[in-house]
Formats: sequence, structure tokens, C-alpha cells
Amino acid sequence: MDYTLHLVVLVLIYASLVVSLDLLIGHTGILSFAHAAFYGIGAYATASLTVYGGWDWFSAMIAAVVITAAIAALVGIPTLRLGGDYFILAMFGFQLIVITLILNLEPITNGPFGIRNVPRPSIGSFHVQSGLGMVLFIAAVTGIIFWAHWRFARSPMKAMLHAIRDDETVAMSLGIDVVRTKILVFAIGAGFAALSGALMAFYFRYVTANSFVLSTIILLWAMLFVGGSCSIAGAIVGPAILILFPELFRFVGGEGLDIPNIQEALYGLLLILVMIFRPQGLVGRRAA
Amino acid sequence: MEAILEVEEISQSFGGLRAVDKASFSANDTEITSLIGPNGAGKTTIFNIITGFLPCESGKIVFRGQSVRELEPFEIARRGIARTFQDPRVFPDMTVLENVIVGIRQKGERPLWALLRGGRVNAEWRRARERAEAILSTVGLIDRANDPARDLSFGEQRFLSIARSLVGDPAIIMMDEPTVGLDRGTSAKLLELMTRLVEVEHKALLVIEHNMDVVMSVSAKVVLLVQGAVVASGTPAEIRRNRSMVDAYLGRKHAAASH
Amino acid sequence: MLLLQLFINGLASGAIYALTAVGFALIYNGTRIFHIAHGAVFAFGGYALYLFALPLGLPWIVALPAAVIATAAFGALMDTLVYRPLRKRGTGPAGMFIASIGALTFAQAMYSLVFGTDTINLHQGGLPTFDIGEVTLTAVHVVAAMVALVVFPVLQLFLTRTRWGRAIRALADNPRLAVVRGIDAERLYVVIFALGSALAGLGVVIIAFDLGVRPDMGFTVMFVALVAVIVGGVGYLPGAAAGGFLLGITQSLSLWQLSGRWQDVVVFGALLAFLVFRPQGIFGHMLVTRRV
Repeated sequence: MDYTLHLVVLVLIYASLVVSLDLLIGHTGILSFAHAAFYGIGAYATASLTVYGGWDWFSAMIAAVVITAAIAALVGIPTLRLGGDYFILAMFGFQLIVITLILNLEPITNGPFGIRNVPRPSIGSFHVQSGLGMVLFIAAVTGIIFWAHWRFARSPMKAMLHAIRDDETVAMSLGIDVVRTKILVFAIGAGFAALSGALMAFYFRYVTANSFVLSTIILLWAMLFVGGSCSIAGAIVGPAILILFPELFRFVGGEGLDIPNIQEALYGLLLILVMIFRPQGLVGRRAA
Repeated sequence: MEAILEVEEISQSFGGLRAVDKASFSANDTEITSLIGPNGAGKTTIFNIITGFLPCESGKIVFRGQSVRELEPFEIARRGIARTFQDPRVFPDMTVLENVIVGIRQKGERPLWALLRGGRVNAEWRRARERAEAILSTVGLIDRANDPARDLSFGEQRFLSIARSLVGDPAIIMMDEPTVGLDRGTSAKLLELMTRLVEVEHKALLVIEHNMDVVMSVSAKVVLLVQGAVVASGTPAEIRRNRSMVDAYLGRKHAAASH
Repeated sequence: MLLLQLFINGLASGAIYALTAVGFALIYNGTRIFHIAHGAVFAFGGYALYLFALPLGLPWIVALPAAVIATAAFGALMDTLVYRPLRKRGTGPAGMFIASIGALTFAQAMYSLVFGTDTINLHQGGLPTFDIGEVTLTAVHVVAAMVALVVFPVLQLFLTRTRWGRAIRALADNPRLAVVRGIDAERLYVVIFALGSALAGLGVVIIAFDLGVRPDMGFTVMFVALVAVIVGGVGYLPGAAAGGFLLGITQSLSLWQLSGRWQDVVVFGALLAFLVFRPQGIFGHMLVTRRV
């Protein structure tokens, strides 16, 4: 029972990451490879502020979101102007710099050892403990994240982002401030990723740079495209499949199998197959 | 007639090639001005310079008395200069109606508004939709409002791109080869739309065209551009009197049946 | 003296980066595909060399060129299996890139599953070295230098003097026009991938001696190679080579003051600096992407 709840939490957290990534990639056409980095910054900021700074969980979470969004805006200002391939490279580079910084800025991040004992959220004197309480808390916050993106997708903002995605030049000729909008959306996406990072920090009570490496962002992209972009359902289906399916291996193969690498091989293969046979993903509305 | 857009001695080179060479001309309000010239003369380049997509090394661009030379493309669009492109470039995944609405700036586009009050139900969006529908009626596409834009024929997409450009209530619409690829019937309808835009909606039009019949029949002024420089400018009658020069530059015989 | 040694080391690693970068740039210019799986092709060469030399026991003189050829074949195979179906579908550059990520991930995971994640050393003991003054040169230095001195001029000749080479350049300049003038794009893609992958193969066989073979070895090299392409100017092959050498030297010299773990930051700092201040690279070249 506990393990099932654990899987549910994982799917929810990843789904919340995928839905904010979809805002960037699916709706606006910003091919961000930095999403895992913002997730990591959010998680680390939350952990560092609570454990080292003594902040309460709520303020730390809000601060983490704001800090991450600000960093994203700063990074986005010079880089979003660049064409697609240049931007991708810049995001790769940013991602690597973030990991290096995390591993080296020991006073705030404890270097490669990570930060432990992140407190659990609490309301007044009621502490959220493990188990059902935590799951409900995470479900509530991810629910808010889904709601926000659902609202975005039903607003005039969506059409404007799609215009930017489909043809920036025409969008500009219609009076849309493309550069400013992209920076804004980039920062918003990063802020949501940071929120997911805070959730992760509260759930595992431990943050380490290993959770935000390049394979994480590749996993997120795989989840997005397998589930389908421009779709909230896709943002849930993708993580559900990619997290739950490898679990089957535990029953079949058991010990001795290099599960992580089998998973990676599957993700890679799935990405290729999806692109060839079903580029709009399982339930998505748009091909890449 | 007052000049609404004045281009004065603009020049621009690309890697050693002088694409625009001290070009000067103006477009008058509530008139159609045609920009003609052989392929590669720099007509689209000038369009891109005026609308801010390309820089220009020197010269002045004045719109309604104010310089627009250093502005970003979106700022220029918001000032009242609209344009269409050689390809219709409609947004394929949106409906016809959405293609037009997206040109209307509204509060629901801002994230906070979108989150709290920006749904399809709010008043601003409904007004935007009404305006979009009115414009679609003007161009004759109202019946296709809910169809995906990619399902439209080429001619319909062309009209859609014009509808899109109208949404900001521009003072001047710059059209890049609007009749190219259209059959005679659709071309005629387009000309009729252009005339209506000028006479009824009081817009100015600056049009790049290769079709001499179109140019001569609707333009109040014709500007001939060759190798980046303005070689002749005047009414269609004046240009026709210079016919041999025009032919020499355009490299072909002008149909004698022209009025 | 230390700086000179670091400089020489940087030249050697720079040669590897240069080969990989030019390979990537050749593919990118010719096909417009952001072939990030180039890193996996690079690693494939290392494993091929291992297989030829150790279990199969082929003499080095055979194993080395065989590994390069195998790498070329692998790159071409990847185009046939992954990119060509996508081209037939009309997939855009973003979709190609996603598939390339998939290929990279899949390949790297397979290397780990088949060969394990530990570094495989290709030979025991150190490499032959000899000293010139205060500087120590290893066989890697020498071979890298020789390869670079030979390969790049030969490549230049190939691209300018042979029919294939000119066809490749035509395709790179203007894909649609090239096809209209009768160039068989699909066959040419195979050649481009084979050639670009062969260059990576040359790079990996040099470095495999020094550092051994591991599943993610393509990764680090690939990133520096990408930065090299930007620094040299996208669309300009000699620039990519120059960028590779420059980065190798910079990285090596940075060891003089910074500890090893900041090397990545140095490279990516350079990347971001160029992207922001001079995206057209040192030589002022930028592949024309449609803006209007």
C-alpha cells in the first residue's frame, strides 16, 4: 500500500513538471532543456532555506519559486532572442553550470552530500506526516498547478502563445511583443518547476544534485512526447506510463537486472518510436 | 492627398551587396500605392526595413509624422502599420476565427488575468470575437469561421491573412504580392476588397505587385524599384508614358491592350 | 614548464574536439539535423575498437582503421533507421532533435547494459613517452597531431575538389536547389553521416588509448564540440576545427589556476559569452535561418 502511494506521488510530481514543461515546449515552442535545472534550484532553495536558514516551509517554498523565476528571467533575457538550436545549446550549458554550482557551493548546498532533514509542511500545530497526509498535500499542490495550466489553456493567452510558437515573425507583425512574452512564460514555467521541486524536497526530505541531472530532463521530454503535448491529460499519461511501466520489471526480472539502464534504453527507444509513428503522443493534440 | 508613410533615402547592404540604395518614396493616405520592379529589386527588403524586421544603415522612415526607424516590429505594428507576407502564413492549428482574434490585444493574454478572469466568458473576449467576426464578414470568410485554418484553400488563406492584418485597425496595410497564386476570379475579389478598404474603410495601401493589370487599374501611384533604387514614381498614366523605360527594366512587352 | 605542458596537452585534446566538432558541423550543415546522438556514435567507435582489439585480438594496425570504418557505418545506420523515416514523414527540426535525444539515450543505455558502466582500459601500463626539453609527449599527443595535420587538409580537398564534396556543399548551401539540380539527397545524406561519423571515429580511437572506454564518453566531448561549433561560427567548418583547438587549450590552461571540476564551467562560460555577445563566432559566420 505504501509503495503504491509512493508511485502515485512520483507520478503526480513528474506530471506537474511535465505540464509546466508543456507550457514552454508545447504551447510556446520554447525547447527548454533547463527545466530540470529550475526544478533543482527550487528544491535546493526550499531545502537550504528551511534547514540552514530556519525558514518555515511555506515562506521557503514561495521564496524558492520567486528566486527561480527571477533566475530564469535573467537567463532568458539574453538567450531567448537566439534561434532554436543556439537556445538549446545555451540551456544545456546552463543546466551543466547549475549542477556544477550545486556541487561546489558548499555553504548553501552541502556540495555532493545533499541536504537532509527537510521539514515536513505544517499548518499551525498540525504536521503533515508520511503516508496519506503527505499524498493529500502533494495532490493538493499539484492540483493547483494543473488548475493553473488548465486555465492558461482556456484563455486568450493560449492563442497568443501558439501564434508565437507557429510563426514568430507573423506574431510580431500583429503587434505581439514576442521577446517579452517568451521571457515571461519562461520565468513562469521555471517558477512552476521550482514549486514541483519544493514538493519533492518536502516529500523525500532530502535533496541531492543527482535528481536534476541531464537524464532527468531527457525523461521529462520523453514523458511529454509520449503522453502528448498541448494536453493536460498527456501530462499525466506520460509520467504514468514511464514510471509505472518499468515497475513491471520488478515482478518479471527481479535482482541482477540493471533497472535504471533498462529504463533509459526504453525511454530512448520510446522517444524514437513516438516520433516516427505517433508524433502527437498518446493523447496529445499536437505533433512536435 | 497627404503622405502617411514617407521613406527618405534609405540604404542597406548585406555582405557587400547593396540591397537598397537611397530609396525614397511616399504612400498617401486613402490611396493605393504600388511598388513594382524586377525580381530581386529589393521590394520585400524595403518592406522588411519599414516594418522593422531588417535594419537600415541610413535614411528616414516617417509614419504619420513620426520616425519609426528604430522601433521593434511589434511596436511598429501597434503604431498602425500592418503587413501581409508573400505566403499567407496562417496559423495552421487555429481556426479561422482564432487566427483573427489573436491579433487583438487583450488583458486575458496576461498570465494573472488568464488565471483568474481570462476565460472565454469575459466581456473583453466577447468583444474581441465580435470584432473578429465583423472583419471576417468584410473579407467574406465568415462562413468558415470555425474551420481549421489549414483546411482553407490558398485563396481563402490569402484573404485570412489580410483579415488578420486588419484587426489592429491599421492606418496603412502593406501587402506583399497579394494576387500571386490566385485565379482570375479570386484576384478580382481581392481587388474589390482592396478598393473597399481604401474607399470605405479609409485605409492606405502599399502593395508590391507583379501583375501589371492590377497595378495599373487600382493604383493612385506607382513606384518603380530597380536594384534597390527608385527609378521612377508617378501616376499610372505617367508611368505608362514611360512605358519603354518600364519595359526595358521589366524585360518584357507590356500588353498593348492596357487602357 | 607547466604552462607549456598544459598547452601541449590542450592541443592534443583540442585535436579530438576539433575532429568531433567538424564531424558534427559537417552533418549539421549538410542535413540541418541537430545530431546530438553524434556523441553516441563517438562512443560506439570506442567500443568497436575495444571489441576489435581485445576479444577479437586483431592487431592494432587493423583494429584502428576498422574501428573508424565501423563508426562511419554506425552513423550512416542511424541516419537510415532514425532520421530517414522522419524525413519521409516530413518531421520538422524539433522532432528530429527529439529523436536524436532518444537515439543518444538508447545507445548510451545499451552500452551500459552490454559492456557495463566501468571504464574499459584498452591496454595495461602507461603509454610510450618521450621528452623534449621540459615537455613530455605521449603517443597520444603525437598521433593526435599527425591525424589533425593530415585529416583536415584532406577533408578540405575532398570538399572542394571531388564531385561528392561539391555535391555536399551544394546541399549545405541550398537544399532545395540542390535537389532540383539532380542531386540525390538521400544517398548524399548517407555519405555525409558516414563522413562526419568517421571523423568522430578518428577522434575516439586516439583518446580511447589514453582514457579507456566508457558509456558516457561521448557526452563530454560532444558538448565541447558543440561549443566549438558556435565559437568557430556555425556553418564554417574550419571555424569548428579552430574552435575545438581553442577550447582544448583553454580548458587545459585553466587547470593552471582552477581545479579540475570547474572545467565544464569554463567551457560553458565561453559558450554563453559567445551566444550573448558574438553568436556568429570568431570568424563571423552564421548559418542563415529564416527570420522573416
